[in-house]
This record gives sequence, C-alpha cells and structure tokens, in this order.
Amino acid sequence: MISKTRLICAVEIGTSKVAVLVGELTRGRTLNIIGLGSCQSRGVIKGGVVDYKEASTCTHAAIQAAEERAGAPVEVVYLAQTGAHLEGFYNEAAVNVNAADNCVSALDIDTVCRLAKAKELPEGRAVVHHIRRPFRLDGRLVPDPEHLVGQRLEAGYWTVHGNEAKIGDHIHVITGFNLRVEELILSSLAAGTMVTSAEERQNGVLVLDIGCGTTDYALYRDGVAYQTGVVSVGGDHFTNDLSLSLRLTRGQAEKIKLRYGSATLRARDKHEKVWLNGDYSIGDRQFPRQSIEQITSARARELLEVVRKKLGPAFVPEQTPVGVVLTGGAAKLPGMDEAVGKVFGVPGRLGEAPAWVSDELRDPGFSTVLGLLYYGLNAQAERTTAARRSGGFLQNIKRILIPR
Amino acid sequence: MSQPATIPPPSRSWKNIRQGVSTQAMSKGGRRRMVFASVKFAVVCVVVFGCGWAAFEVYQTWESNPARLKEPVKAVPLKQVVFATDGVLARAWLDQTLVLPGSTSLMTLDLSALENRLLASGQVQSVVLRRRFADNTLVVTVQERSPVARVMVQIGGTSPQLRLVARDGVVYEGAGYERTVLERLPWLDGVRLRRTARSGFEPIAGMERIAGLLTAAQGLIPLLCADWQVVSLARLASDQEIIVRSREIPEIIFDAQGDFPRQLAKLDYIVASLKTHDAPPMKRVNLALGGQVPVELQESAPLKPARSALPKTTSQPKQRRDF
Repeated sequence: MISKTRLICAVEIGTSKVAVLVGELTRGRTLNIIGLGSCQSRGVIKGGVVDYKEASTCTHAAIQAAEERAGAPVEVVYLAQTGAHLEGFYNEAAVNVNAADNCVSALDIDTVCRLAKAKELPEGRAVVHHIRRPFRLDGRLVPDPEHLVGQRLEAGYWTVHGNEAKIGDHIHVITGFNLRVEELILSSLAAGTMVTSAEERQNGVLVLDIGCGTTDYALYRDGVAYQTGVVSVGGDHFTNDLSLSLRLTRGQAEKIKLRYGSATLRARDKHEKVWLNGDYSIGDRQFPRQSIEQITSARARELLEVVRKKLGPAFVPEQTPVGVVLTGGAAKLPGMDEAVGKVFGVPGRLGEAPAWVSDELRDPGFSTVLGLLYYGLNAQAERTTAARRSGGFLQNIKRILIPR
Repeated sequence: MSQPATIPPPSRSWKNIRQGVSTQAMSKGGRRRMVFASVKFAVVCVVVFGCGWAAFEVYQTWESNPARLKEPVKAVPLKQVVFATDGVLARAWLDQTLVLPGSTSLMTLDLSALENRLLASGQVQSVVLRRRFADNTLVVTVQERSPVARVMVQIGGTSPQLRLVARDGVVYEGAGYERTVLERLPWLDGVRLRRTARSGFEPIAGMERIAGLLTAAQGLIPLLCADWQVVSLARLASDQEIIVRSREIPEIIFDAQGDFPRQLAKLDYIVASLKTHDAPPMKRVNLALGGQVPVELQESAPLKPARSALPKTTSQPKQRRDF
C-alpha cells in the first residue's frame, strides 16, 4: 500500500559541493521541497570518491542539515551519479512477430526488450540505466507497438554502465548514514529533465551540465535520451589553467575566473588590465584582461570540442533544432552560449529551472538535484498508476487465490 | 530473424551492489541513526509481541475461566467515601442513606442504585458518584434543595408531620436544618398534596411564583415579611392570587402574575401611611387589582381628626381606599 505522504531525499555528491534536497511526496502526485542542505565537497575528485571518510562527513552533514530544515528524517535517497568511468553503448534487437495475424503482443515486446538489454558487460562493470529508444515496427517509429500489425519488431537501448567499485563507493557514502539508495540516476539525465521541456526533448536538444570536475551531457531525440556521456573536464580546469598560466594560487585563480573569466574573447583593448584584489595590498598585482579571457576561452572551446568529439556522428545539428542547453556551476561563465554556438553550430542558452522552483534553488548548480527530486516524483507517480492498473482489492484477492 | 530459444540473463545492475556497510565504515551520525532505528524496531517488536501475548492470554482465560477476567478489578477494596455538599446534609446522613457494607470493593459498587437511593430523599436535587482509583475512594458530590416554605402533612391516622417545600415544588422531609431556620419559613395553605407511588408527594404546582414572592419580600420588606405566617395557594389556580396571612394583616392578596416588587412597594407604603395616621389595623389588603388597592380596616375607634390628613372616614366598619 502506498502511504499518503512520503519523504524522499535527492543527493548530489559533486566535486565542488554536496547538494541535498528533501521533498515531500503527497499521494504520489504532489511534490513540496521542504529541506535544503548544501556544503563544500571534500574527498571527491572528478565526481569520484577518493576519500571515503571526508566524503561521508560532508555528505552526512548536508543530509542532516536538510533533514533539520525539513523537520523530519528521510527514508530513501535518490542519488546522482557522475564520473568519467561512466560509459554507454547502443544495442538493439529484433524479433519476428509471433502471432499468425501479425499483431504485436506483450510477449513480443518483452522478448525484444530483454534481447536488446542482454549484452554482457566486462568484468567489474554494472548497468546504471537502460534507456530505450522508440520501437521500430517494420522500420517505422512507434512509441507503443502493442496490438499494432507488423512483421518485424525492433528495439534499441542506450545502456549506461559504470565501474562497479566506484558506483559502490558512492552508494556506501549514503548507506554509511543508515539510508537506502532507492534510485541511482545519471546527473546529466536529472539535470536534462529539469532544464528542458518534453517538447524540446522531442524535437532534439543537447544538455551540457558543466560541473566543477566533470561535464555531463545528454543528447535528446524523439523524447528520449539518445546518447549520454561524461567528460572529465569541468570548471576546475579553467581555474587550474589560470593558476598555472598566471602563477596564482587556486583560490586566487578561482577569484579571477569568477570575476573576469569568459568563454569568448570580449576585451577589445589589449592593454586593459585588471587587479588581482583591487585593494593595493601586498601581493596585489595587475593582469591583462585579454590574457585571462584567452586562457578561459581556449579551455572552454577545448571542453566543448571534446564533448562534440565524444558525441561523434550522433550529434547532427539539423536533428538538434532546440540547440544546446547549458547548466551546472561552470555554465555561468560569460560567453559560454556563444562558444557553444561556434563549436556545435546550434544556438546555446543557459538552462532555467521551471517557474515553480524557489529563487534559492534557481542557480544552475541545483538543476541536477532538482531533477533527481522530479525523477523521484515521476517514479512514484508511475508506481501509483501501475498499482492502480494492476487492479483493486478484489483483483488482488483473486490473484492470491488463483495463482497463474 | 527467428527468435532465440533462450534469452541470456540481464547484465549486472547497480542494484546488485550490496548497500549495507560495516559499522566501522559508518559515520557517527550514521551509527546513531542505526541505533535509533534498531531501538525503534525493537520497541515495535516488543509492543507487537506484547499485544499478541496479551490477546493470547485473554483468549486462553476466556476459554478456560471467564470469571477470572473480572477478578482483578473486583479485588480493589473501597477505602473511604468522600462527601461534598452545597447544603446542610451531614456525613452521618450519607452513611445512613448509602448503608455500604464494610468489605465492599470499588468496582462492585452499583453507582446507579446508590444514586437512586440518595435521590429518594427530596432534599437532594442532584448527585454525582465517582470512583477514584488512585486512592480507592468513592466521591459523592451532592447538590441540595433549599426550603422556601413548610407544610404539615397527615398520612392516614398518624400524627401530623412537618415537611419542607422547595422552590421547584418538591415536598421533602428535610434533614440537618437548624430550628430557627425552619421557624422563619411560612406555612403553606390551600395545598392539596398527592401521594406518589414511592411514598412521597407530587411537586406542588406554582411554587416557583410563591418562591419569587417570598424572595422579593425578604429583600424589599424584610420586617413585614418576618410576620408572614401563612401563604395560601387556595386561589392560585382559579384567580391567580396568592394570599398571605401575617400577624398584623390577616389577609394580603397578591397578583401571582403581577410585578411582585411593585405590589410589595404598595403594601409597604400603605402600612407606613396607615401607621402615620394612626389608622386601625388592617383586615384585608388586595394588591391584585392593579392600580386600585382596596384596604379593609378592622373595626375600631374613629380616627383622631387633628392628625388625620386622609379624607374623612365614616364610622362604618369596612372602609375602602384607593391608592
């Protein structure tokens, strides 16, 4: 039986910060965000846990803060998963429709789906998602082929898999707080659901979630995630480049990046200089603004080109009319949309959270964790609908008494 | 493409990864949560087990010896009876009325029967009986009636007995009142008492009005009221008149439906006025005629003309004045 109110927790253990949201699901249909916890991440590099204790401490602190703000303990966690270890492949299968009248049955669909998913993975790899692309019945795209007439049914899955040990590390950080991970969701999918509409996903859109250590991408086509991936380059690399080039500490480089960094060259005056601190203190010095922009824009272009290269032939500008939607903390770098336009040849824009999201959570850095909650709501709604469809009380009694 | 005979098993999913971690790998907060969850689970288990055990025990007892189920509650002995009243009834009266056996238990007390026993005395208007298990006490709270008049009744060939009449017309024996209090009450006259099945009397109709008159008189004309000896209800039902007999005035007639303070004020004025003019004592005053107040004086010597401010009266025995 599904309880009327259920608390779910969305956790994103990122490279720069850990974000936690607590949502209250009422009757599996309504979601209220009642708790927020966030703290600086430690023990995580490029989306992977490298120091279990440090990562646990900051994650648990964020969960506790969110619980305190929500005023109730959470029960289950929806966890975002990122990291360069995540990979994907496409596998498809086809079956001949069994029935004499060529009417597709549920058994045909089940068989083709199981065949398409049954691809053996290398040792130490675990499936994170099986994302099904639309069915093809005699070559035509159909969302649901059941009861349609045809001879050959095809199904294809984009399977996302990752290193079992690294996924386990992520999960154990949560279970170390005596919580259960209900769902593991790819960061790019969570963020993509939040910053794009269903119509945009149907038409074709590329979502780039540029985080601190990694950049997650999800290419949508025909309403589903056509391809996903993770590039182990993020906003941290901009900082690192500035630090090395200008001989600055990471803190100073981060400050310079946030103040003067740009994904495209904007400064027209070669001699325009900017101060490091601007307070004339000891160590305060000037840098040419154009140099800063050259460094950040080169890195931004490089990052986008890496993504474009990883997408390969899957990315077709004509089939991505909506363009590129940017999200994540590093997406706030000025000129990123222009850089996207130059690299991908489609318009780019900064993703915005839906209108119902409060101002506090409208920052692109929260889109993933918001998407996790949204995913949780949808999963719950699906479960509620499935439970309702499976029959009422009498049907359940019948099922118990007369087993198939 | 033909369908294969067997479909390979699905690949290993993240859901196959064991979620549990050792206690050492848990953070301090995680361990605290685990302990709390374990305690909560244990408490729930204990409660469920306890409820199940209790239900089983009750069922077993019910099957074997149902009488045992009542025994534990019967065993609580009555230690004391606490009595509270807003009137004059004493503890001795309560003991005589309740007649509780010495070794009674609190749960075996039939509160309804005890309540009826107490209410049988008309002096008790309402009673609340309460079991107090903390100290095994029976708490009796009584609200008493107050008498407004008295009446003598004679049942069969017995000698006349005094009964008191309350504001609501209930006739009762009365216990615990001081003699002086009873002597101040006027006697009721013109009343036909009817016996009830329970050796009592039916309430007297119209006593509410009588009580209203007496209360108003005690407040407005206390000296005159103290002389009132008899209040008659003989003409209450037929003429809506209350007749009062006092030592000074043999008959004062009040309008039962009228304004008592106004009538009493008129009476006071008449008495005072006649005293001022050395008038003979009054025989009859009728205050039930509205603006007209006929006063009948007793036969006596003519008024002294020098001090009389009133219109000259004749030597006729019955005089009538209008006020």
